[in-house]
Amino acid sequence: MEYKHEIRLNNNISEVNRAVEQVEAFGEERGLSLKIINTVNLALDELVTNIVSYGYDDEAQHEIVIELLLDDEKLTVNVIDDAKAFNPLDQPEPDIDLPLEEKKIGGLGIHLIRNLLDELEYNRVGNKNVFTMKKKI
Amino acid sequence: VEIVQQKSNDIVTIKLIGKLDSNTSAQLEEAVLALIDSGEKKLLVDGSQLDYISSAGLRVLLMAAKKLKATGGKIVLACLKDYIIEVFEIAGFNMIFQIFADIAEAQASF
Repeated sequence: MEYKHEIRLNNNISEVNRAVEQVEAFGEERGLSLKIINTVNLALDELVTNIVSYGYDDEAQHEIVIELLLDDEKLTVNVIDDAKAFNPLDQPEPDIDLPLEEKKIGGLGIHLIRNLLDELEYNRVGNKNVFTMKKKI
Repeated sequence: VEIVQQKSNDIVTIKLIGKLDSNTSAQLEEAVLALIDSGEKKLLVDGSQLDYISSAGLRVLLMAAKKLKATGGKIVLACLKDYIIEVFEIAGFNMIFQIFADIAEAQASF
């Protein structure tokens, strides 16, 4: 069986909450573990915050679309936005071994996503960024 | 996130209930800065009811740890859920924070 759910957000930071609530509802309805729900929500928190904070040069309203696709083996999450071309996978890996005094937070969000999800892919399609994440269930 | 604070024997226990994400981390930042500014040096985060933490939440904890180190204090964590410990490990935060299995152990570390 395949299940699909689509979430449409405005480019406003408070919209992350709405995405999180819908992922939780979808996950509970489909019997996904709390760990998978939280992993996807963490990834969406990092990505959408990034898109809203750094992705747009204008003051206009933009739409960010999140697609959830669940089959027997995995949950696929597509994040589609019309922000500036940005491939999160191009970002350098942070040095996580630094001591407290030198430790920095930059790049940590995508580092968490890289390590918590099973497959990641970025494509620029027309004027859109399409970021795909897959997590085995 | 809901933040419940309780002080006993100079140790301030900060219980976090819910999600520490990009929307809510500012609440923790405000609470922790107020504690540090008022001279508190021993902070214990009770994560038993913390559902998740994003890099925004990690940033606040890192800020608190740096400020407390400068004043001779420290911040430790207790009762984190498995998948939050995993996030700490991936971020390398298990190397800079003491994480305890229960509150009593964390209290004894000060």
